[in-house]
Amino acid sequence: MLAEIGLIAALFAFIAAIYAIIVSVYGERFAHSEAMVISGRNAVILNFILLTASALCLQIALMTQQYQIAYVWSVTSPDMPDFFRFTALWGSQAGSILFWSWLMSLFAAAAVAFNWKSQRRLMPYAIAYMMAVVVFFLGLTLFFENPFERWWVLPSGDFVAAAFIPAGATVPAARMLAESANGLNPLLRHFGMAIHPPMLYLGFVGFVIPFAFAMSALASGDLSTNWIKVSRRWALVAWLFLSLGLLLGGRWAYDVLGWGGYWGWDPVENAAFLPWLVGTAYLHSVTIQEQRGMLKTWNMFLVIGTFSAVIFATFATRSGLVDSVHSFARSEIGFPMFFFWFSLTFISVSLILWRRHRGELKDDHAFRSVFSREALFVLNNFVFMALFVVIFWGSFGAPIVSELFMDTNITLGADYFNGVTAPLFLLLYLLMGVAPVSAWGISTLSKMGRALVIPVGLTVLTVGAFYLSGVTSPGALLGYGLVLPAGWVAIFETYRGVVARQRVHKENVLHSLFALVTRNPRRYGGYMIHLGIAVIGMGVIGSMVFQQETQQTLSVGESLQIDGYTMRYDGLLGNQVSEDGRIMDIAELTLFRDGNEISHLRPRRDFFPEATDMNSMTIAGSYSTLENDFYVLLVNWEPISASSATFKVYINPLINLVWWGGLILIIGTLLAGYPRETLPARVRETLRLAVSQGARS
Amino acid sequence: MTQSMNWRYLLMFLVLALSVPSMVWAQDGIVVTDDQVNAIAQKLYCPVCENITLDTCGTSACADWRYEIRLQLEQGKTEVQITEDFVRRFGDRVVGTPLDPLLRAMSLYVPWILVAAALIGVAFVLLKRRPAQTPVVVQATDRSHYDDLFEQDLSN
Repeated sequence: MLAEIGLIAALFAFIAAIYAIIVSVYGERFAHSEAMVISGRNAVILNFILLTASALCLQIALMTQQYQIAYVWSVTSPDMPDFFRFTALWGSQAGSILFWSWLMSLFAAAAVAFNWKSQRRLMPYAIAYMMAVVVFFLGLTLFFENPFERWWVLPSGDFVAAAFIPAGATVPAARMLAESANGLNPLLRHFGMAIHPPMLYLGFVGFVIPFAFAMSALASGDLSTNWIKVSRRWALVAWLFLSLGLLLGGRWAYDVLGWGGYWGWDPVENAAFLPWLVGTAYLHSVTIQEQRGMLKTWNMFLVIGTFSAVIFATFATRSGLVDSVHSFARSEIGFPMFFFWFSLTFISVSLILWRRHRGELKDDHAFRSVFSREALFVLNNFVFMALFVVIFWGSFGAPIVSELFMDTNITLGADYFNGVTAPLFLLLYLLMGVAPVSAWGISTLSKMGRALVIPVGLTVLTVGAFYLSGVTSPGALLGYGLVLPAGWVAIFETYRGVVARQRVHKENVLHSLFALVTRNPRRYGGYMIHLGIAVIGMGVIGSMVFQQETQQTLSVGESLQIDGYTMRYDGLLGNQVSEDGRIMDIAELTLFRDGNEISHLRPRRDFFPEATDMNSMTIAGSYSTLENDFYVLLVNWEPISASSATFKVYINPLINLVWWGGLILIIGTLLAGYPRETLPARVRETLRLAVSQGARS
Repeated sequence: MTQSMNWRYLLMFLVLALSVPSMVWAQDGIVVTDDQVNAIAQKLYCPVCENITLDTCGTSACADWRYEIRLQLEQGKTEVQITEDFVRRFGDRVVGTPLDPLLRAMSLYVPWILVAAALIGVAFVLLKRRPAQTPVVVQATDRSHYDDLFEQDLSN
């Protein structure tokens, strides 16, 4: 019953989305009917309600173990805890596409609810574009990856998964289905999987709103700053979730994948990082249009490029393109996704070029100084796009070109990515340190130099302190020297603001800081984001340049030494069975530093007997301080016994700065996106009085 | 004649007797640690699995390849020789950056050529958009423009 309700709800949601597209555009463009446009708006809300019902049906089926539904059978098993049953909604292709569609309809409904009045002119077209994307993904759900298909037994005795009952088929025995159920992919049985995919999806689908408003501006011809105002905040929301998704993905990889790192330059990771790069460029560039009325065409390209990168990332990771450049042709959803991505990009770019050709995207001002903030922002955009190009090329371009035209497979790995991205990232950090102290319009080198004296001085002192504490690698010192100004400038500019306020208003420090930040959250949120990025940069340099590792086989009672730590192997707890059926080999270790016992660690190897694909994983044991992580793995391909085992140990210096920096970045983004009154309280009061006096007279 | 042959046999015996221990030392003297194996394995990609380095790959095939690296290190081969051997057998996909000159050039230079072309494009657009060289009168003030904006902002 749940399958029928879910499928019918999805089908009606599909119809509602198509209806919304038709009546919104026809009502606005041809019939000039307010009632039709309102009907389109209501269809968006209905689409959300129906998709909620559909997703809820699948979720209930997962929680109540309805194994006749093929998707439930493929991602759950009777011994799985409820927590993983819940996360199984996005644990495989079909469910995650439905979940994706639901999130997109949620964003569309929210955009309609929040922006209906303020963006009335753009809204009909925005509805059409948002619903077009929903229609595509719902189409995938209904016609290619249907999560409501059920198992049937054909008269021949064969099993088949189908949405509707085949002729003569019968329902298989529930017990038999339960006993043969697959269970969730072991890699997804981690707490991080409850948060990481939804955050990433929210980040991905969130960019549909800025895209839809940009496209509606192009379609309607309303190319004023209206679309910029509405799209910037939505882009910031999406960017927040995407950043959070990337950070949580890094943390999940660090905890679960068992290779001692958090970013492996894997094409799947890179595919998620590409929209972040373009989206970040847009969030900087859009400020130039707001402040100076410049880069109108470029901003269109960026906002559309971000969503195009989102669709490409989805296509690349779901079609099989990543595993083999040929596999997307064989994949069920590969061709439709490629076609959708290509059409979306082609139509969008064509619309931009058409409007530009008509002279409707002309800039209000020209660049007047190479040191102006807008010029530095353009340089910043250039570096972001250069990063996009080199990462895209390494992940997809070179492997595809080599296979298609040179008849050979290549894999560009960390060597390539670290080599080509490091100079660009350092240039980006340099710009982050310089751009905030430049002015709009005209700025000179000497003025910027004066504003930079103290942050640069603090950077020199910090790098000197690192040198005295034993960091002598020239590369690391140069890296820190380029990363730190971004953080110091952010801190110093905030400090300057606090001091200036204190001077004028005679407030205490905390009150001044609070008032300063709440009065201009966008600026100070931005500084906080820069600070977070600088802290992340410190962590990345520390953990990359100074990482140490060793692999040794130890007998019980033996120890290994690394970087001042001593790790003793105390014994093995073999064949421990957990509640979800996994079998665990747990090594018991004692960690000492300078002769003092500091921790007991329990790295383990998990084996999933019922899993069909990947059936084992290594879970690290770690001892974490701000200075470094002691990270130990039980090497799962070497013999493990009660008498001896092989361990791989990593010392990851400053790695926790990556997570702390991420936290600062998230808080900064929340701050930067926090809605505030556009006029100061004093001005609002004056206006209110003026209006009331005018009314009386 | 017989005496000279005896001398020759004695000389050969001495040479062999002296060389055998050194050969045995060459075979047994190189103790290869897991770390030495991993140092090379982490730069080689599994020829079967996508995008997984040999040092972290858990398949039995990768375990065999790690053992091969160990054997080759014990035979005194260098990292470059071992890498070249893997590339010869499995192709350029086993290294993070191809060794084949054409593939290497394509991988490393094409993105920078694209970036340079974009830079030229950006520079062209910016120069084209610069305003005509009309004298711009900038009000000289004691404080910088930035400070003006900053103070103005604070006074609100």
